[in-house]
Amino acid sequence: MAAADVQNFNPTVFSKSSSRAVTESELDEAATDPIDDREVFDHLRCIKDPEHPLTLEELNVLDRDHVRVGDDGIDVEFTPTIPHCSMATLIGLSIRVKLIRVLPARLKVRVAVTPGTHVSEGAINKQLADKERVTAALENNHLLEVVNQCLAAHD
Amino acid sequence: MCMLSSIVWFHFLIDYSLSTENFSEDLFEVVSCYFPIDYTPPATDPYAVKKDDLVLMLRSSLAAYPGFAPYCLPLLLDKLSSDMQSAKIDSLLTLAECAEPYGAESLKPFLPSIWQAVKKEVCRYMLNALGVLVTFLVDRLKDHHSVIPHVLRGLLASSGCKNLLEEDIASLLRGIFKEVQVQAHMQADRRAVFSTIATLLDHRLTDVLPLGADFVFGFIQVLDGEKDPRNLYIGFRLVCIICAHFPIVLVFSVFQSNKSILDDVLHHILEDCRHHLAEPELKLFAPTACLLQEVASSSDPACCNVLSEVVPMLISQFQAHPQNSHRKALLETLIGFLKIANVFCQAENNASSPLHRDSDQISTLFLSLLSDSAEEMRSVGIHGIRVLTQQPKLLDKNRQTMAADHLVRAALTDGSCQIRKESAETLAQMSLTHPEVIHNEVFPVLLDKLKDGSIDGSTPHEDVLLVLAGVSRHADTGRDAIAHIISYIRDPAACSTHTRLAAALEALLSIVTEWASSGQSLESAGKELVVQLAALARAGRLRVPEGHVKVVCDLLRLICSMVTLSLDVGLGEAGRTAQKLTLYTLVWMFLLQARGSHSEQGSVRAFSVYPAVNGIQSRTRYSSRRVSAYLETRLAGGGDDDAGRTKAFNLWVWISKALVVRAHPRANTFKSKSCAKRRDGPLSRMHCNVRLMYRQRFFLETSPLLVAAFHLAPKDMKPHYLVALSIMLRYIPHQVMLSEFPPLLPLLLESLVCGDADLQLSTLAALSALLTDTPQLLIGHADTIVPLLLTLTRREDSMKLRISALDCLRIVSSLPHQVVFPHQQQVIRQLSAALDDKKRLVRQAAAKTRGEWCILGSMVKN
Repeated sequence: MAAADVQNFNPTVFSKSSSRAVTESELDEAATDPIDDREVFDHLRCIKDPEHPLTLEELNVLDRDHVRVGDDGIDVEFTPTIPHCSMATLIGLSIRVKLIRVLPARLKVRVAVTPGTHVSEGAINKQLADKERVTAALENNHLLEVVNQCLAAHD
Repeated sequence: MCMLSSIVWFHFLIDYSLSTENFSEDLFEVVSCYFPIDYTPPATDPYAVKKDDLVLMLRSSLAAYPGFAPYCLPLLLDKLSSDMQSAKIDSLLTLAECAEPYGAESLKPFLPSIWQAVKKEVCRYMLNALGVLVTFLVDRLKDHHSVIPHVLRGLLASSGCKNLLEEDIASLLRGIFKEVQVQAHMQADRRAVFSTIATLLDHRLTDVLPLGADFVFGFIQVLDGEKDPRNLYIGFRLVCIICAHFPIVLVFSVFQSNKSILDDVLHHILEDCRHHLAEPELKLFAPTACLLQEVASSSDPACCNVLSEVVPMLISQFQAHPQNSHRKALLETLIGFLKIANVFCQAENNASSPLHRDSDQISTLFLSLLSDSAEEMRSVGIHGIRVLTQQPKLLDKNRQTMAADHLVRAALTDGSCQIRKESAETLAQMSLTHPEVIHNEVFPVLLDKLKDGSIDGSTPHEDVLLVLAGVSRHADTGRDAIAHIISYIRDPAACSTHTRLAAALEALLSIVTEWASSGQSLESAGKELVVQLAALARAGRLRVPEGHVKVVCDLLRLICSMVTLSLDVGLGEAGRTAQKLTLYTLVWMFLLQARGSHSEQGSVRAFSVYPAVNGIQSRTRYSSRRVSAYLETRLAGGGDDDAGRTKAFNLWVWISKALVVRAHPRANTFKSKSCAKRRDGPLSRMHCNVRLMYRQRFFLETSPLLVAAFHLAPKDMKPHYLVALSIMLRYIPHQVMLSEFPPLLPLLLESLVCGDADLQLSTLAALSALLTDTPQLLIGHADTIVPLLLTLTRREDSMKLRISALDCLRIVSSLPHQVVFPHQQQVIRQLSAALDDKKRLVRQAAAKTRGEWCILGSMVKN
């Protein structure tokens, strides 16, 4: 990749949150733990950025306040590091695919760009909301490979 | 072969300065007739002597003795006029190697002829094709600017050629430096220039060095204004090489003002990095700091130069950034530089050390952090002080005292246990470099705290003792500390609770461990300690609480090994007997106390006795006979209830373990009895806690017994045998596993099907260890294992079981692709149920496992 390709080669790095402590009730066989914001965020925070060897959490593309679990499904908003980031769709797709793989199918998922943080947020949101386009994208082997790169566990 | 060895001999002969004057001509004659060496080793040569070995060895032989000069130089000149290229090269290289040992006087008469010959060669070489190409390319650099990128690539390609002459290299570099405005070109073209220089520096350093200052100036021009990080990366690496080889450049260009060149280069780098260092929140801060640290560790002058610039810069940035996370990044970088200063700059005298000027500021800075309100900043401060104490002159006496004072307070009273731990570690570090400060400042504070007998005093005695043990790593302080601790234990007013006693013993243990591991010879101290401890035991001051008995036993074991060493050499017969008796007193006191305790406590004691029994090597026979007699009556069970028998069995198992480990003759008796007692049910698992070298022997002897017993056992007893087996499997070495495993696998799989959750858990643990260590054993069984594991992920009753099954399944995904691929869809489908499990931890494991199975076959997975 040439310098011109990496659009933001010196981004701000944020600290990672510590891993979640296990509570008493989580160890109790009988108790039911509902899926909460933090759990979904934990699934997503280790996704790698396509351009940097950093996670979406470290780049503050995802933060805990923008992952919400509601009655009717899950809302995830992500913030591209710069408003004209061309990787935004890819990042959104990675988030979507990750959620498809790790969440029960009954939950509805909405992935979108945080309002006002990208020049073409409308187009990106539309693409990400379109189930058929997401499925079609994943049939493209090259694209799937790139997404898998972002999702591979790196620890 | 003979040739090489004779030359080697010859070399030795001269190296050892045997009197060779009288024979120098004869010696020269026998050797020189081989020059130049033309030898191709036969394909079947058993000695594998290469031509190059011979050439090098012969060359150094000729150069080994100055007396050869009058004979050798004419020979070399003669060979220079030969027609064979290799002979000429060999002659020139030999000439180069001989020049120094022969000395200017011997060379003088031949210099005109050498010069003529070399000139002739050079002129002829100039005509070679590569030379022509380079000259052509360099000429094209003067042409139209649109040609230049292509020329640069041509030069890059030719820079990699091995037979490029020194002259060509010089003209190539000069051409680039003179004709090309590097920074006016595109990134890729600039990269070609950097790569060219890098190739030349990497492979032809010696040929570039004569260019000296010209080269460095040219390089500065090339680098000046570079912005692309990838080019900068190469550029920085080149700077490292240039810095590292600067002394050589110094030799070659004595008339240049070299100091200023190094300064120029470093100044340029620092200018380039300055703004990155001012932005600790951005991504490039850390890499830049790393690069500068590399530059600083290239040589002493570079280190001094970089540090004297960077350290004040970092300190002022620290003061400019109010936010803690930024400050922390800055300080951690500063600490990195200080560590480099600990390696370099040591030789420099104090005044010129780059840190000397700022040492006041640095130490004040770190000392002030020690009382910061934020925990992370205190931690950084402590880390900084630790690095500072490693350099002798950075902290003056006054500040050492201040630091020690701060640290001891932090170690005892700080709110965060992390900080307490780090302070104690730093004090321990200080005790090695500044024992007198510890002795004068820290000891009085600690002892004072210990005198305060009240239970709810400001600092728990346990913490004080922990710190005391930490700072006693130095031999002198250690001796004092032990005396203090013994007298503390003796004093009933101070050492008033069980936990205090345990902490005191723990402290003793850690001091003794430190002695043992540092190999200090402290036999006399060890012996004295045994006597003291025995006295304490007799006085009843060693009644430690349950859960801490292990400490005492570890202590005993260590002292035993220390003392047994001295037993055999130092003492007379009477002394030895006395020592043994003291040891027995101690060991038996603990063994027999086991009689009175409750079940679990008994097993803890038994467990702790094990190392002690183990430690007193040759004396175990006596103990084991008495113990076995005692225990057998207990196990036979007369009036005892179940708990009593359990307790006795525990002790039994531990003793037999100690014996098995020692390969003691009585071990077999013990073992067969414990196998017979297996009917006592789940206890049998204790039996399998064997480790280290004896595992294999134990496994080979025991597994047939177990398998046979399994087939005979009544149905409800079978699981116990499986538990024993699966636990044992975890500990045996690979090689044994490979040969012994196949017959056991059906048993293992059976235990996965069988309903007992405990058994399934331990089998899963064994299985995942197998999958990680020896996956080849299980490749053939994936078709059986995967469905079994999938069934287990749906076990309602045990969350742990579901999690281990999922974890196991995740490891299965790393088996070879062709083995797991057929199961991929099935696993992904069936795991979706686990994603909706009611327990979060199960969902977490399921998500991880399903994620792995989803990317099966993708590049990242392979």
